[in-house]
Amino acid sequence: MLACAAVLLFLLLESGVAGDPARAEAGPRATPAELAAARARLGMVKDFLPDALRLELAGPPRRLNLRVEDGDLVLRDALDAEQARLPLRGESLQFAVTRMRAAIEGLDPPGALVVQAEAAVLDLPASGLGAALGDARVDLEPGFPATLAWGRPVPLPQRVGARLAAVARLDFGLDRAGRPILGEIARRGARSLAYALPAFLATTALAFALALWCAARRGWLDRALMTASAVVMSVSAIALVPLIRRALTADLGLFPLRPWSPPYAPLLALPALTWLLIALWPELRLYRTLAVEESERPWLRAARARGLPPRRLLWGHLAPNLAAPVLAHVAVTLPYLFLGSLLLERAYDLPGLGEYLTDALAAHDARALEAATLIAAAAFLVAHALAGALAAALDPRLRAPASEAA
Amino acid sequence: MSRRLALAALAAYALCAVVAAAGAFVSAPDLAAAWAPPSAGNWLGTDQLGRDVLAQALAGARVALLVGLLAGGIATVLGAALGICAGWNGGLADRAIFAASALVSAVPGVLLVLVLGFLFGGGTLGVFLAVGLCSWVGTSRLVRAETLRLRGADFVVAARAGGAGGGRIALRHLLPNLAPLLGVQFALAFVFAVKAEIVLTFLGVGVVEGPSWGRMLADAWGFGDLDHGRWTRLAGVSAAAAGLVLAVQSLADRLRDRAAPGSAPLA
Repeated sequence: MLACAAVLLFLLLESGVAGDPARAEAGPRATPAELAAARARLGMVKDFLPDALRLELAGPPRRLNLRVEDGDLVLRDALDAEQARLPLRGESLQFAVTRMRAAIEGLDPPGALVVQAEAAVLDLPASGLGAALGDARVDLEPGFPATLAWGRPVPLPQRVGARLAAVARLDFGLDRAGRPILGEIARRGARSLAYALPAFLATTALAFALALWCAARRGWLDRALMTASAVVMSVSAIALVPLIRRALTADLGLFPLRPWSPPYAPLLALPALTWLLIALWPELRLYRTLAVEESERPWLRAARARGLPPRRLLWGHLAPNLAAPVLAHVAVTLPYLFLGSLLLERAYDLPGLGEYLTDALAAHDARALEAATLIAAAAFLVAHALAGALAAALDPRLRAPASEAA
Repeated sequence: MSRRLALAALAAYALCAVVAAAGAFVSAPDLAAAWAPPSAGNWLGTDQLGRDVLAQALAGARVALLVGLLAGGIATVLGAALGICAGWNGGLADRAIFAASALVSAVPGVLLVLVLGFLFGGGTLGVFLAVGLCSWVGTSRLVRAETLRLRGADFVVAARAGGAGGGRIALRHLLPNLAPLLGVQFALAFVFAVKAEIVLTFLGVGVVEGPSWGRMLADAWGFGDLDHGRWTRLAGVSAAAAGLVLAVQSLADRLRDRAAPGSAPLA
């Protein structure tokens, strides 16, 4: 399953299904050099040379541009009219440069192209120019030299294989800032867990207790809590987080607001409490639904008919029978905790994994997003298997063979 | 929220969306009027560019409804089609669809929406596709289970005996029986899509053109509205979004309640 997820992500992120992956990684305003570097970073080209050719246009003031179209290098003028089309397949860079020079000398008025490159570079196949350039447009203007990169194109199946092998070695490469992605995820994931895990456990315990109480008593408090949960859940967390932040810091003065530095406990307690105040309500609704369903079971009605006191019905019978689904839910949710909260970490300036992901999104860092997604998927699969085993251990009905259960 | 109130609220949002689509809520930036407090002319004050906050919040209904309807529609149609296909055909189709749904559900929803939004280059279309393609799994599994149950029902057996093909049975017999379930699932997908649009836009991979609630909230964060005592933008957008979500959610609850009987308190 994980290998399938890795292949799917690869195909989505790097095969070009959703447009040029280098363009997605480098951003819409990337220069040709940045685009070429992104193609090398994504493994689309190998033996990458960032400064293979340096071109300078001489002659009358004008602007020409070069771009790769259908595997050919096309020279266009300022009006976007095609001036020359140079085939890149099966030719050397030397040949492409000579044809480019001839095309520029043949313009009216004629111009000149000054080329700087090592002789060894000129012997390279011109197809590498197309592979490194992708859909980038290189502008040539007198007085503004342009640099072209070169790289040997890597076929898609080979890239998929190389990527899968790297993922199997847990080698996610470097992020846009040049840091090892795995190390960064581990370091920041630990910070996210430091507040998310206690917050999640406290939320679960409180929601479970309240849900049992609501299911047992119903009445006005149940209705009030359910109405409150519906209202809070309908408001976007983006609006709730700044409200809670202001209330807990500026208005009540319970927590400090300062940059990430020791002591860390107060800095972690603030997002943890915010988490609890926001996440309590959906958990409460879920556990209440489970509790109400369970309270309708015949064995519980029989226990009630026998005259057991409500407290014993609640904690001695209902709560243990809810343990399996609740713990299964907890086990399945746990792996998501390391992702922290994208919003909380942004609101409280906490350098956790959530902040790393938002930075990766802003920086169009496909590799970091891919790594976080795969690690989350792996954690989910492990947790799912654990949840199944846990539920079966707690609930004998889930262990019974299908024929017996029927 | 009562059914009538929910329907009235939805009609009001739809009206706002139509009026916004006609360009009625567009106000030109006027820096001289920036950060004006609430007044008779601007009930919720103005933003950093001097635009009326209330008009922006009302105009945001257009994007919210568009995203909710289209992304919810994609999720429901895809989930229903795959669920019926898996439940009706069984065998290889069932296993393949189950594997695809397991693959999608193995990746955290928020992360998948973000990655897809990033892939599709953001924008309204990116949000539709990202949210729609991420939220079909639940619908598909429920529809599959219901199709399995309905496959052996008398009216389906009778239709088969009468020579009806799989497509005709799905369209004429299964779909009408699945309608309440699909209605609930559509409402849930709608709510998820509206919230996801706000988060995606807030994180910079959502709607870029026109006013949207996500952009307004992102601006409220970016300009520190609450820190400067300006609460109207945050409150206005939150109320607008909450109203829409509550209206749709309460209609979904009513649909669900029709199928599920009530229950008595324990003590």
